[in-house]
Amino acid sequence: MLQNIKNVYYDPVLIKKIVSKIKKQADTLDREIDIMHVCGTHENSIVRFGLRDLLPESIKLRAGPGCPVCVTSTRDIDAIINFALKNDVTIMSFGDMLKVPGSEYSFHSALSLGLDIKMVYGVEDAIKEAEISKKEIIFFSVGFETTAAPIASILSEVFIPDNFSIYSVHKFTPNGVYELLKSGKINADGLLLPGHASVISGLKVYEKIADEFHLASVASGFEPLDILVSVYMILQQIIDKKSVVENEYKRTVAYEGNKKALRYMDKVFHLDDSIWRGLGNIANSGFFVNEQFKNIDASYKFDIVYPENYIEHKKGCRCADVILGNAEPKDCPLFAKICTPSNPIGPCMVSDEGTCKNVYDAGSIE
Amino acid sequence: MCVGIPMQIVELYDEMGGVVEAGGVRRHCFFTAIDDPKVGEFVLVHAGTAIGKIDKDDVEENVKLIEKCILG
Ligand code: SF4
Repeated sequence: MLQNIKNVYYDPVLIKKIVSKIKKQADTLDREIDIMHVCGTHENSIVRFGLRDLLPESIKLRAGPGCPVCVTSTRDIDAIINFALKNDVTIMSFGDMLKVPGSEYSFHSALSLGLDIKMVYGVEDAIKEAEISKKEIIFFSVGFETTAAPIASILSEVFIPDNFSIYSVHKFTPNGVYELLKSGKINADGLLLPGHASVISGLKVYEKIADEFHLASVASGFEPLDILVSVYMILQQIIDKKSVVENEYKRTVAYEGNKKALRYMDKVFHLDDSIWRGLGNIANSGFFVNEQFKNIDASYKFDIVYPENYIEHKKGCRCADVILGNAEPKDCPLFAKICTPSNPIGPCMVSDEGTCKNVYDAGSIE
Repeated sequence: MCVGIPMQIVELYDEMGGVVEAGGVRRHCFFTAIDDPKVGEFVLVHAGTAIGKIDKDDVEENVKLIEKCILG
């Protein structure tokens, strides 16, 4: 079954057909159309398959705030590094997070200061480590709802040793996008909704966004044909003067979301204001551990002191603009000169979901 | 980080976990976030957990939608 799916979504004949239909739509519209996606994995597919080159000049695909490690504030990174250096604890997190620069150090570079840091593939690795370790284990828990919900389900169901806790910097995409649109920091004619985050949240949460900001919105898969068909669907809405939520990724996204995963997410986390790196405090956009689970909440369990001053982006780094889709990596004077994946100056150069890293990798391939 | 890989359930330890496979690669997977996992079913795996099922009807519906966009 999966092989058949792949064949359809990469079929060059189908791709040519949809591209020619998009060209006809672009001619009808006769103006520039900005489509923003809010998922780093979409950016990865768009760059890897050269989809921007297939689209007419007037149809722009812009990367928005869709990379979870890119929006993790240095305030949180600095606070956890400082705490761990003064206390006998091990920090564990996903590989993508380790090289993200804080004000001065990343988790990885703080190894040189004696930080005990380990990489995990999932929260269960950190729980297992806690079972065999005598030290306190803090899991630096990062990701959008795609990651927060499954982590919540595991934390609810498995035995958790006393020396395990999580520090949640999880963010909720729809509320972040809503507030950024409301403040005018981002704007677009259409939204490509995140495929895998929507598996959890469902699509109803995006109706308010589509309606209030008149945004043609389509949840999209990640194969080349998925993204092109979603662009076609967005353009058709714009031509028909509609701004509703549609689902291109029907094989995976249910309109109502994953109800079981959502129940777990509500059980373990609640939403509150959260700092997004370089974008400031965003209302109701972060997941924090519920009172009922306070024993595994590192911010309750330990006296974590937040730095008074922290540097979100170093001088010259345009990450904040890149994350908002207001600048491209090539607009940054440091891109590929000083800032590279082996020496990332800003967070957008670290993970495969970071816009700068994606563009850098595509350039390296050429 | 939002990468999801479609994989097939090949073994169930219990309702909570088992083994999934794709392209000859097998790995442990939690089924805590989905209802009623069964051997043979396809799931979307993210960070070691199945976050959704992929069923045949939905796949067909998806292909129909794409045909409609391309041919319609
Ligand atoms: S190239 Fe590096 S320094 Fe420039 S915006 Fe991207 S991450 Fe920041």
